[in-house]
Amino acid sequence: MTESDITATLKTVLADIAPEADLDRVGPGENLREELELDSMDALHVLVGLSQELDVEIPAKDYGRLTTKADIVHYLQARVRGKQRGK
Amino acid sequence: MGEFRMPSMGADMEAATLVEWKVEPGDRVRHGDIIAEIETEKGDIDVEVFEDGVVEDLLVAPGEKLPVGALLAHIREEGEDIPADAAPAGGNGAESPHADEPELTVARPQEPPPTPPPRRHVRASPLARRVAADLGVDLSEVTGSGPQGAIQRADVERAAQTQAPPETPTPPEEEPPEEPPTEEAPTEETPVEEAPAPEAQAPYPERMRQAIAKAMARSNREIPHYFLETPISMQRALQWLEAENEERPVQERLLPVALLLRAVIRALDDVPALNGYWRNDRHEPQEAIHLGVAISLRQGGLVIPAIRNADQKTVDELMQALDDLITRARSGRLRSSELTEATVTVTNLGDLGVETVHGMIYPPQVALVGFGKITERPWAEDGMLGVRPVVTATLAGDHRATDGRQGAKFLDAINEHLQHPDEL
Repeated sequence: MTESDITATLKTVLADIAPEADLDRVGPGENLREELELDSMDALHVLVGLSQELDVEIPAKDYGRLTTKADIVHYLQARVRGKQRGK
Repeated sequence: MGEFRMPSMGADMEAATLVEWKVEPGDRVRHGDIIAEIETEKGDIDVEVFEDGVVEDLLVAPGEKLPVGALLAHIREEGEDIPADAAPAGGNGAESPHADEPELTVARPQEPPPTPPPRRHVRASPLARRVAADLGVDLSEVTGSGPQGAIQRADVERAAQTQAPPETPTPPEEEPPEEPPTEEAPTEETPVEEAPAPEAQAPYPERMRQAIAKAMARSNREIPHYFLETPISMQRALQWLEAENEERPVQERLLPVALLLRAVIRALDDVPALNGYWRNDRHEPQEAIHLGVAISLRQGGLVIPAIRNADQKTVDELMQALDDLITRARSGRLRSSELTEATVTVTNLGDLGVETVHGMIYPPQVALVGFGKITERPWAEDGMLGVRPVVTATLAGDHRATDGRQGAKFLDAINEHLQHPDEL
């Protein structure tokens, strides 16, 4: 799965949770929650959505690694790759 | 014969627009059934009925704006005879609080208007409704691209480019052919009227602003507030939460706010005077805890729906209830009882980054509990200085109902309960 596939999935998930949020306006190094004004419940919904769409586990201990847009995309890419290797 | 009147969704509401009836004359209804949808400053609300019976007649048509207390329908109790004269008598007896507003509770004529244009139920997000009002777009002519055909902002903006300007709104004569069929079309018995033209109402954010202004001005004018605050170490609570979440799939994980809400409920058990109302110059503590939660809306403003009977819910159930409430508040699907019965309110501005919130009490309640952001701060304990995650809990109390001593005891109780998260 490419970076742009993951970004597209993130966009789909966000469209359900925060229809006004414009992911394209968030720079790769910017804090996703702050830029899109997501509260903690929104952020949890984003993780639930991503976990379902991509069929990957997102352990709670990894929350700290999911801050910027680039962090999130790279983390998910690694999770998806790890899952495919495991098959 | 029971009278179904426009309910009040709080001290700040004066009127609302009937969007849709969910029942027809002859339908059997039970306590708690949703029988109508209304549009208020707080979004669309599902209105419940509080008696069992059969819908006798519906007196107003969708699209009408009516004051709180206006007669909307008659509900015949089980076993009650059908009156020989079925025409609604108006029912504005001396007991009616709004008998002085008869022109707004007048029954519709009995015969249906000739060839009533069917008013399709419009499924639209509150934001879409606001944008539609701002742009003068007729929502009934917009094709929704959201879930179940719900109209979203982008749909309205697209339509704004093609629809007639607001000065000359064209009433929908027919269903646009591409629209999906609706199951909720009104029956012939239901008198049908066009929705008011969009320019008849102030833009949505402005109306919500006015509603908030009214409630908060009343709070500031009438309630002698006292304010207390205390920092609380969240170390134990967050450690417990982390361990708990490690075991759970992402769908079932808890947020710190669920623990905070549960701690508030436990503390209200300890200091029950803070749960209730000040009405008619009297303090009326309430037994059940309907926990109001301030929820900010994306389009601006906020609503304070309640988690009903929150005292009977576990941490997990509170988490689910909060999730459900936030989702429905933002999509405009709250129930009337959720907006009328809060006995105390919690505001959690921590998500927006502030450390301390000194709130205003929502009348007629007597307390507002605030939580700021959980941040790492220096913390002295047992003669040692360390760094802890800390939240500042605040209380705004109504000094007519309680004193600072009770307030202090309450905040201390919140702290105490958060130090024993496994017992919450």
